[in-house]
Parts: sequence; C-alpha cells; structure tokens
Amino acid sequence: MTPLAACVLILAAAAVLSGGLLRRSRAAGLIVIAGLAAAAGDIVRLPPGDIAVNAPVWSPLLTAIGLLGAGVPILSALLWAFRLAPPARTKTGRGLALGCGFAASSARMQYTGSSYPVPVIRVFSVLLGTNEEFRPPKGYWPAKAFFGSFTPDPALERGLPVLVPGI
Amino acid sequence: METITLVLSYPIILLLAPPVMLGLITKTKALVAGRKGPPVLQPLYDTIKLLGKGAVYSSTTTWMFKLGPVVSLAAVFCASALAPLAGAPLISFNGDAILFAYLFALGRFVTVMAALDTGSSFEGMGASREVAFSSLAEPALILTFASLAYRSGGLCLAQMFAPHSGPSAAAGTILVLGTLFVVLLAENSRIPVDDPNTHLELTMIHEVMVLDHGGPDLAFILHGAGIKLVLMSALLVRLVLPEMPPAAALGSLLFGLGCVAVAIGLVESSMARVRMVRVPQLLVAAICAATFGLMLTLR
Repeated sequence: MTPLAACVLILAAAAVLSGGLLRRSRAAGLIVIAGLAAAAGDIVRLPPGDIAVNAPVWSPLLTAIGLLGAGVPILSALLWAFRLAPPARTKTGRGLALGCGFAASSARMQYTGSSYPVPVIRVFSVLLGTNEEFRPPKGYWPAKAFFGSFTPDPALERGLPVLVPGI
Repeated sequence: METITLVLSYPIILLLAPPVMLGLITKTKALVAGRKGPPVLQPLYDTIKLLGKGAVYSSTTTWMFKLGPVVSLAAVFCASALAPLAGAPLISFNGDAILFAYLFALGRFVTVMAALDTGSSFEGMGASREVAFSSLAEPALILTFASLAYRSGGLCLAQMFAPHSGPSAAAGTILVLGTLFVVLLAENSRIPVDDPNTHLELTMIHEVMVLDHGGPDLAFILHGAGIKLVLMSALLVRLVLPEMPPAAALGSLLFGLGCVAVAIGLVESSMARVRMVRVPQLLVAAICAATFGLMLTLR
C-alpha cells in the first residue's frame, strides 16, 4: 500500500467515524482536509537535503515558490469552502466591532501609519533617532492638544549627509 | 513500518496533539495551583463546539477579516509538511528552514491584517505589539537555525534536527535549546511574554487580535495556534532525541511533546507575565544566547 492510499483510507475512516459519532459535519470536513493536505504532501515527497546537488533543475527557491504558490492557496480555498458550508441550524450575524465601550469607532481613533510601529521604534530609538513633539492639553476640560512624530530616513537623511558632506 | 508510522504521525500531530498539548498545560497549571482543572481533551471539545456554531461579524469588516483565520491555518498546515516529526518530513529541500520560519510569518501577517480590518483601536494595539515582539523573536530563531545549519552543513530542517553528537555539540545545543524555548514561549504567546488566559485587558498581545473572531473562525485560529505550538515543541524534542526506529521515534516524540507541555505549565505556574517594557529585554537576551551558540558552533 502506498503511503498516499493509506493516508486517504485512514482519514476517510476517521471522517466517517467522527461524522457519525459527533454529528458534526464540520469536524469531519476538517479531518478530510487535513488528510488531503497530508496526501498532497505525499505526492510531492522528495528525497531530503540533496536535491540541489543531485538535480540542479530543482532549486530550493523554485520549490519554495511552488509550495507557497500552490499549497497555501489551495488549502486556503478548501478551508474557505468548508467555512462557507455551515450546518443547517447556524446563522451568521452582523454586529459592532469590539472596542471596550467605543461602539462607534471612527477613522480618527484607529491606528495610523505612525502610531502602528511605535513599539518597534521605541526599541530601536537609538538607531532611528525619531523626533517627537507633544503638547498636552492644558486645563481641566479637553482642549487643543498636539502630537507629532517624524522618523528620518536612515539612509537618505542620516547616512548620506555624513558620507557625502554638503549634499 | 516506516510508511505506516509516517502516515499515522501526521493525523496525530495535526489533529490530536495540539488540543492534548494545550490541555496538558492547563492541567499542569491547575494541579500546581491545587485545583482539579478541566479535562485534558477540553480544547478539542471547544474546537468541535466552535466548528458547529454560527458567527457574528462586525459591520466594519471585509473579506480580509474572514480570510485571516483560513490562510493562517493553511500556512501552519504547510509548515507542518516541512517539519521533521517522527521521521523524515513530507517535503524537504535545501533551504526549507527559511520557508518554515516565514510560513509562520505569513500566518501572523494575515492575522494582523484581519485584526486591523475590524477598525477597532483595541485590536490595532494588539497587532502593533504582536509585530513588534515577533520582529525581536525572529532574529533569535534565525540565529538558532544558522548555528544548526552550520553544524549540519545545510539549510534543511531534516538535517539540522537530525541526531548529532560530537565534542562541540553539547554546549552549543544547550544554548540553542534555551533560545528555542524562549522563542517558543514568545511565538505562542505564553507567559512570561503574554498570558493566553487574559481577556479584555490592556496588557495582552495575541489574544486581543482575535477578540472579534467567533465560531469556525475562532476554531481555525485556536487549532492553528495549537499546531504551531506542537511544531515548535517537536523541533525542540528532535534536538535531544537519539537515533531510533520510526515507531519508537513517534512514541518518544509524543512523550517529549508531553514533557514540553508540562515544562510550559510549570513556567506559567511559577512566574507572572513580565511587564510590557521588559519583553524586548527578554527577547534581546534570547538573541544574545543564540549569538553565543552560533559562536560556539563556529569555533
């Protein structure tokens, strides 16, 4: 028995068993998808390690692109199809995004391009040299406040002027 | 025999090992705290329950939000085909270690995109922290892979994690093991980097990103996270396992996964989550340990 056939057989049996025992078609579907993934992996099974040496046509880059280019999208499509086929009694609803009380969040409250990388910028602040300007609100009632940050380009604005004076 | 073991190992590792490992961690924590704790198979029951449920989607979300869980699970499935588990991996080529690391990165990328898609500032915060800490965990992982690659003479996971002995191996292996364990804790959002049990707290990282997911989407995310934990633990176990026949290798791998789960449970029982500002220091320490490991291997 080839590994591929054995894989499909065992997983089909598992799918039937779990589908019958658990009465959950989605659990059975997931097992079938995992089996198909294992079987698909079995078809493209290659000898370990020495492909680049034995057959120069097989470059690791091409294999990687092949795996990413076929494996992830095919599996994603299968999982997507599985997710779209819900058991009869379930339903899909629409609601508000969870935001700890901020029910109607606006674009002004969302993360921006400069606020998103702040944790990384803090860690590498010595190397990046980010300028920050913060004018907090004054008084008891919410008043005008300002925060701005600017990270100079490490190559063009910090590296090049040192290497090429007068630029 | 080898074929049967190989065929058996993948369903076990992909379907059963993730919930059992998560259940063992919870059980260990409960026993240390003097409680009885939920059954070991509780995560499996949760996943099956979630798969049968409907879902509520935020009105601000688009297809990206639904794509996140699907692609992240597909990415870890593909990564599992590259990992050496009981025997040789399903797919193996020179350079697969890099693809393995970046399939995890692909999974993280789509999870982050799905979190940002909700438009909730809360989930944006989680996404921002997740990428910040993973950008520090990644060099540690790559440096570890570099020392293993130098030792084995190829960037192939099957060779890198094959049983290895030699005078220079021991010291380097201990550092590599330590680094991999810290990276495992960070990548799988465990204590001391993140607390998987906190919900609705401003201190959390990974959990905050998946708050809006429910039903089958949440089941995909939880199972994908479980597979990721199992794969990284399997690499850790493979480093210390000696050469043995496939059936014994599968048995000892499963035993080793159990030991890693108990170790994670003990770590989580004995210490609290470190402060957010200390997490980069922990990860930089892991990078330093990985660098020393590489130096010892190059020596």
